[in-house]
Amino acid sequence: MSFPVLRGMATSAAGDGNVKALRIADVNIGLEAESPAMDVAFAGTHAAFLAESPRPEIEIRAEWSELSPDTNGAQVFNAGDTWHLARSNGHYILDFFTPLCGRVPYKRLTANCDWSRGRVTLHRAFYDTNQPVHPFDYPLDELLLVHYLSQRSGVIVHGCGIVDETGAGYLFVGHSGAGKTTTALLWNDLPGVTILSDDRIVLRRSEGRVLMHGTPWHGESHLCAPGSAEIRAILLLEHGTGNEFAPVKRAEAVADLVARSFLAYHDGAGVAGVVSLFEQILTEVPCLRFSFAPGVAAVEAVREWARRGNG
Amino acid sequence: MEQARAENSTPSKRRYAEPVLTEVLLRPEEAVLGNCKIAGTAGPLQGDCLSPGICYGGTS
Repeated sequence: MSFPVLRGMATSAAGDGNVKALRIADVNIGLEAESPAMDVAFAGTHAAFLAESPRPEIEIRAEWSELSPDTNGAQVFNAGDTWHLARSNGHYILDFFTPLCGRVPYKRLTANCDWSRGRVTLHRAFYDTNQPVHPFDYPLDELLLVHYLSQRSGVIVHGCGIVDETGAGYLFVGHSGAGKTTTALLWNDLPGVTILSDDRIVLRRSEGRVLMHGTPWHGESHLCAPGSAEIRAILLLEHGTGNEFAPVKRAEAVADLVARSFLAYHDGAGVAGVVSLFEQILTEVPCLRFSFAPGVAAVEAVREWARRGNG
Repeated sequence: MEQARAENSTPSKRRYAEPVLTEVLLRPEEAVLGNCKIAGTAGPLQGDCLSPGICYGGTS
């Protein structure tokens, strides 16, 4: 299978109905409808990340077709009911499932081995083909970036990224229920503060610096924004009765960050690259366990910690 | 003299610390994007989702 360079990618942010582009964490993603009658769209918070992209780093074509359960490939990873990854003839094949559609995937991404080009095939029978379609929806969007970044010194972490009025970035990392959305809401009303996302933040090394980037993937607060910042501190978030910081050994911090990130677990080199990235980040950025009680005092505790020069 | 030698050499030596195994919690379904928390169960057709292609991964 070949992946020709997309034509007409120099489009406006609004697009022409069949060609669209997003920019997430400095990665330009082009999406073009290959089937003539297909109207591709980004929706939801993706809209805030629309971009002009004359030279996308990732090029995706979308088409209607009929899919079958058989990929004719060797299984690489099985994520349970939602997606499976296989490999065939040097390509990756990501199949997406829902219990209502049974064993037939409702969508398939066939991608080249460095995840820079791909084709999304949507199973025609499961869609209203007269309506705009969103081939780049969850979890394809995140999985594509997970794999692309794992080969390029980047990672998506389960975290809330906040940039204060001075431009300093604070990354609050935690599993579901740790307090990321609560933290985002506590900071959101402060003047000059930007919430890059209350749930998903991309970390990337670029030109010798590690930046945290906003993503369109938000949590229950629906707060997210494009943008990036240098990281002043990484705080491993947990609920508590007060607001307390505790030191974390670097090796333990790396493990905690890995456990709160989204990795291509089938790709040993990719996982090793992410571990190495975290090790590098933690030589430059302080990482603490932050036990907090929901309230404005938690925000003030972080600000006070930074004022004391700990950052 | 032995005592003096030991005292002199002490600052340059790190005390042996026994390796410690620390267990870190990993939530497999979250880690592999195997669920959709808004819907409450796996798959974009679940919960409030009505058709494929309308789920935007709103999780927390």
